[in-house]
Amino acid sequence: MSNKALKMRSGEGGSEPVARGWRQRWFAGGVCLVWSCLSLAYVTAQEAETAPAVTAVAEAATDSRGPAPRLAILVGKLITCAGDPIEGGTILVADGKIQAVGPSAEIEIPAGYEVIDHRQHFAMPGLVEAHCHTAGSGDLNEMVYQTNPELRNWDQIIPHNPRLQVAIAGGVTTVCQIPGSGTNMGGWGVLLKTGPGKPEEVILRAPGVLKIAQSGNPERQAGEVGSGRIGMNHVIREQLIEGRLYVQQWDDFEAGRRATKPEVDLRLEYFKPLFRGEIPILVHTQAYQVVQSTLRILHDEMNLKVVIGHGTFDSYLLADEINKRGIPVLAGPRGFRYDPEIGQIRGILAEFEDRGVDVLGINTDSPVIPQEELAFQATMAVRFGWTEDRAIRGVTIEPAKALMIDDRVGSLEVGKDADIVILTGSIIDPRHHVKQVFIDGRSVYDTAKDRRRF
Amino acid sequence: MWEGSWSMKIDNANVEPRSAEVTRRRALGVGVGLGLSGWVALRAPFSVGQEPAVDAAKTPAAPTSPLVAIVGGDVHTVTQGIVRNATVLLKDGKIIGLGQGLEVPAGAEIVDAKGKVITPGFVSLNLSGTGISGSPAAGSRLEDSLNPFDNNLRFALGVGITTGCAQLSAGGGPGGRRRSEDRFLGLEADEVLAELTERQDDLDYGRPVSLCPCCGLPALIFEPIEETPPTPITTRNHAVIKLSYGHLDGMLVKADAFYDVTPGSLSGALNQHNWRRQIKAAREYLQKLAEYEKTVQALKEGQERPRPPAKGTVTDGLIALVKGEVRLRTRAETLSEIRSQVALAKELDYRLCLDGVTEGWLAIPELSESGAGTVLTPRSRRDARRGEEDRSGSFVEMPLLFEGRGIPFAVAPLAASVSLNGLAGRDLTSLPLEAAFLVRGGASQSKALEALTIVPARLLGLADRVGSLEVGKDADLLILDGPPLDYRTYVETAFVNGQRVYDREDNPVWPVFPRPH
Repeated sequence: MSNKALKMRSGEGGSEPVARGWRQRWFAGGVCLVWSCLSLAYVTAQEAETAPAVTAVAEAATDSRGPAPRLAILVGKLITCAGDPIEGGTILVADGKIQAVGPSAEIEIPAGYEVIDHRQHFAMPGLVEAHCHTAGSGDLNEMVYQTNPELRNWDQIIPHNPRLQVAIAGGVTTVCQIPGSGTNMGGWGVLLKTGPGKPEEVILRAPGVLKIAQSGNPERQAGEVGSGRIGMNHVIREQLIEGRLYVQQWDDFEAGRRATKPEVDLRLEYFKPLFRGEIPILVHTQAYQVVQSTLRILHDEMNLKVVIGHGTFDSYLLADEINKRGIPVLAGPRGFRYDPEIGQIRGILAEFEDRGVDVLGINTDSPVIPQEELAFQATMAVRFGWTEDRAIRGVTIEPAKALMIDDRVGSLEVGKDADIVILTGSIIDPRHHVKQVFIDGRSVYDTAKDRRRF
Repeated sequence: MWEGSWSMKIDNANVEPRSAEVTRRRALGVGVGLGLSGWVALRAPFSVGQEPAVDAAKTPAAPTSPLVAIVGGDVHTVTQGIVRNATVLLKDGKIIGLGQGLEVPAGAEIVDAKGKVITPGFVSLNLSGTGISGSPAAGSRLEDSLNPFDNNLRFALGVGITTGCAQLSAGGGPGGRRRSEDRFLGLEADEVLAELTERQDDLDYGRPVSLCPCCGLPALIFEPIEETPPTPITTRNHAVIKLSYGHLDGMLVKADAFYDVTPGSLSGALNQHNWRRQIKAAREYLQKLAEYEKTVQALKEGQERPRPPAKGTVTDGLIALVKGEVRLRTRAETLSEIRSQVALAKELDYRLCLDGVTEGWLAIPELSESGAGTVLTPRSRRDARRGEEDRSGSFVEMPLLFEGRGIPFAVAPLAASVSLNGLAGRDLTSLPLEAAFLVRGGASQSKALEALTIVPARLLGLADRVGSLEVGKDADLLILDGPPLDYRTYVETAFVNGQRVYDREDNPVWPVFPRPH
């Protein structure tokens, strides 16, 4: 898209009707979401020009999922992902949160708690999927514009859809549903729980992440800017500069450094949490050179929170540069690289681990890999050399850290959401299976009652 | 095996496949003779060039090899339990001794397997792009396409696959992608063509009337039938090879281990009607052949030799099927497909090997009674039909149900070829991991190991050679660094036909790293 067109779209230098047209379209889109109280609340907030930076969903007054029970879950082995495993553990759950967790000997079960006996089983935190396309309708890409900061995907989520139901049986309780990589900036993704409930009950954070795709899918036809990486880097950079300017104006105004109130531009509103460092970009970036431009443009120039969302092929060769910047790597769905020089397979995760990458996880890019096989992705990474306990963390707390939701999910710790997976053994061993899953303290899958799904 | 058959005259070794001359001769002969030239022109290219079945007995099973003693491992024999701290003796491609405290003959090469696990080599019922270069064109010889230096063999050996059944479709030739008999099954006109090309001097062969494939009513045999012919049966060959990296001798085990049909070609009343006739024709041919042989044996000197019976549309594969030498292999996913195949096999008395079987948990009694073998891919899911969640779709605990009722199951990976695209655990080399998913679905560890070894060996008709560790069987075995179904386990050494064909350290196709314990 030409520079002029970009300006027309943003309303800068464009005629007033054009800008209004965009706004009207945006509102029209919003009004369609009758079922989403969240969206309506957001639109209302926009109209009042007092948009909240990030819509964190509070506990709804009346929860369609019913009251959160008080539970005492006894387990044989407790993998908290926040310390060493505990033999013989107890988890107390109340109000959908973990009230206490630790060795059974140290935790007294208060009166009025329903005791659930899983002393033959393991317990671990619910799995966190950083790269999901199966939590909603399958239309992932709007292909007209190359950058789409006005698009958001949480109006299309389908909570507890059949694929997510199987994913729960694979232990997955939180997913980051993101737009596709058909354009350089696909739009804003959403973090949600996989269990049943209204959208406002299952959404963890919206916007959850910004999806940027740098190469290896968003290429345009020859004859357009963006048919190669030089053009794609240009449109990404230009769009981010525009967003940064917008947020700076508002920041200056709110801090009293600017007298006139900036005009609200709904197209650029979601850049506020991004440039304020409250949410990350999940970047479709893979192969050495592309990751290099991720580091330079998104981190060094724009100073944004970045998550390397594929990091495959030979990206691990850049590990030193990634480490210098403390950038998380959530690799996948490709788990290995065939190295033609030595004729040998190399495990992507093992290579990153060997090079000291700190926050390291794995994803499925579902449906590329079925969502229920997130743990099996870790299995294969261990088969190719990743350390097993890091692999367990790599599907729980590490993606939670990268997505900046580790205060809510990813480990079994007091005060966190009671997203608990009960299983017959280590989740890394495909011979074991999930027996029961709790999300926000409610049992959403129980093989004692439900037919096994995975 | 091609007595009386017109195709016998084609020497497949010397004539190019689908020789133009052959096609023309056939087209001319029949076309002019019958005045059905349009029909023939359409049909002729599909009918020539069945490659003669390779007689595996003529190929030496394995070259001579020195005596090898594998000492100290825990041997999972599959058929005779686990023998701890055992010695296995290999010679000339065979296992010549197995047990505790066997004396190791002087001069034997000793392989220390202390603390290791030894299992039979795994048998994959699906194999593609591994050990066979390209797609052998119709009419060419499979032996000429074997590639014992294919690097994919090492990837497969590294996870334990030592025998594979490759699905071969024709490539390039005039028959299209599938090497095929490509006959419109049992269509009367086709039989007439076949008969006439063989026996043009004998037009009256006693069946003046056939059923119309459109309406099922009697039709004149020379009535041109143009619309809605039955689904052609396009068979694939299921060639069994050893993954004997570096060794051509003994690589080819069996040229065709199944009678393969596409699911569609046996569905629907018309196709099934034609299939019944085809089976009947094969049995009748065998009966006539037996009578003929009896007559020939009883011939006195000077008596005229009778004409051998004509095969018509009866193919070698069909003969092997009705004789019980091979199973009919086809994909049956839904309950109705499974029931249909089981019912046909029962009625027509042949044995089955069913792929997929995702709704098999709904057909437990039928499958159990039928003796059908099954090939399961536990991770392959099929969504239930809306409103029939408990009566359709896949069910993860099917292996548990199958094992409980004694339904034999082999395991197949999600894809039959080696993939280096980076998506892990979804190709041929995930075969043992797929077996781990059988355990997840409730199968016992021993049944899951059988699904990798003896069950596929039985389905291939090769249980006398592979699939378990017993004295007298082929020396195809693995030295593993852990339990066979553990996701961390790799093959350290693989023997095929008594030869050491893979060593993890020397063939670093898989990552090599110190295993954290």
